[in-house]
Amino acid sequence: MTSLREEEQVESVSQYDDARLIKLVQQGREDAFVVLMRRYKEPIINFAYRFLGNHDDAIDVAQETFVRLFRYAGTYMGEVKFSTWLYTIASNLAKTELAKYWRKNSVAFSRLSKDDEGAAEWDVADESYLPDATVDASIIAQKVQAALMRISPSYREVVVLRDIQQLSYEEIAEITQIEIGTVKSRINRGRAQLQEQLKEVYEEMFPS
Amino acid sequence: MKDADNEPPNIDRLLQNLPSVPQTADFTSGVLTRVLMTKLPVVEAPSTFEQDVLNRLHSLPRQQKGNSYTTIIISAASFLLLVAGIWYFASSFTSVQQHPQPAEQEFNSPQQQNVHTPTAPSTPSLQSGQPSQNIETPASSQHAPKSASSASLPTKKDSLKSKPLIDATRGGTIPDDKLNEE
Repeated sequence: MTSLREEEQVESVSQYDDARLIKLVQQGREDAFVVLMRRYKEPIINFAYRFLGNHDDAIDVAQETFVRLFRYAGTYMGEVKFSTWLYTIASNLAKTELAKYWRKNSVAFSRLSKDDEGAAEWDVADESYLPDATVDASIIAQKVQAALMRISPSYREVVVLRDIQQLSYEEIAEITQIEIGTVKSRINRGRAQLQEQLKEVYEEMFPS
Repeated sequence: MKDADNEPPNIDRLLQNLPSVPQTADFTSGVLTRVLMTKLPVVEAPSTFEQDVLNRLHSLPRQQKGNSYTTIIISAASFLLLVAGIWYFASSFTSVQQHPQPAEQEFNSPQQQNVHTPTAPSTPSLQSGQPSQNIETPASSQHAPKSASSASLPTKKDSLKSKPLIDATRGGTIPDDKLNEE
């Protein structure tokens, strides 16, 4: 998609809505695919980054999400919103990536927890894996991301989808394949854990 | 008293007396958390993101093709091996049934013995120097059983006598002097 003609093709379909674009993708139209990718690349990268806490992994997951979108476009039947379907792919890939990371680091974590009583939190989050420094210089953003990485992944997923991606409860329920009631309770618990983690930040921001 | 009981309740007064919902202790921090989350900086895609995705997409068919070719070749080869294996076992099984052990052939099977018995019509063909015509095929030996059934059981001596003829058929010619002796 580098030539001028191809760029013109992309421009010609850029005003189409998602449903129309995905139908074109199902017919093998790469220009429609590029429009969808441009429309959703940042939300997907952000979701993956906030969930995984690593910029490179987030980019990789986002790229793989779009590759799968193109390859499996034929399986999209339109029963859910396109964005919901895309987030489902990204969410599954991000969970797989996280599981890989845990497997890789489980030995190191178990060694740490033997020696250090306070190392329990390493089972959930590894400080070296928290990366806002590579993306944004904001210290607060780094602390929020660090706090996110310390809460349970099942809570983190729904909190990110709700409070950062601004998705509805129904959409989150579709993406995570769980009941709306469970989604709400997980969001509440996740937020409570996050508040606990961010106490220091509040005190810095609003000293009493 | 009855009139006072039937008097409708004062809605405004009831609403004013509703108990206020207690504010949770961490209400403020809850709000702040959500505000912080929404204010997190957006992670931008790298400039090569789209091209990388398209490169991945375009490299896929080749990989898939390679994989599918390999799969086809492997599956075809395994199928052929399987068929060959089945054919081999089946043929060896049937040949064992059709052709008993050599010892049994020699002494127990008149059919097989008859194969080695020289017959009159075969001699002229040897004289004509065309030994290949005289080679007994399994088909020609199938005609033998009737005559063999009436023949007595052959001895080892008989089989030794018939040996030169078989050798001759293999070698192709028999010296003239030997033929004359016979």
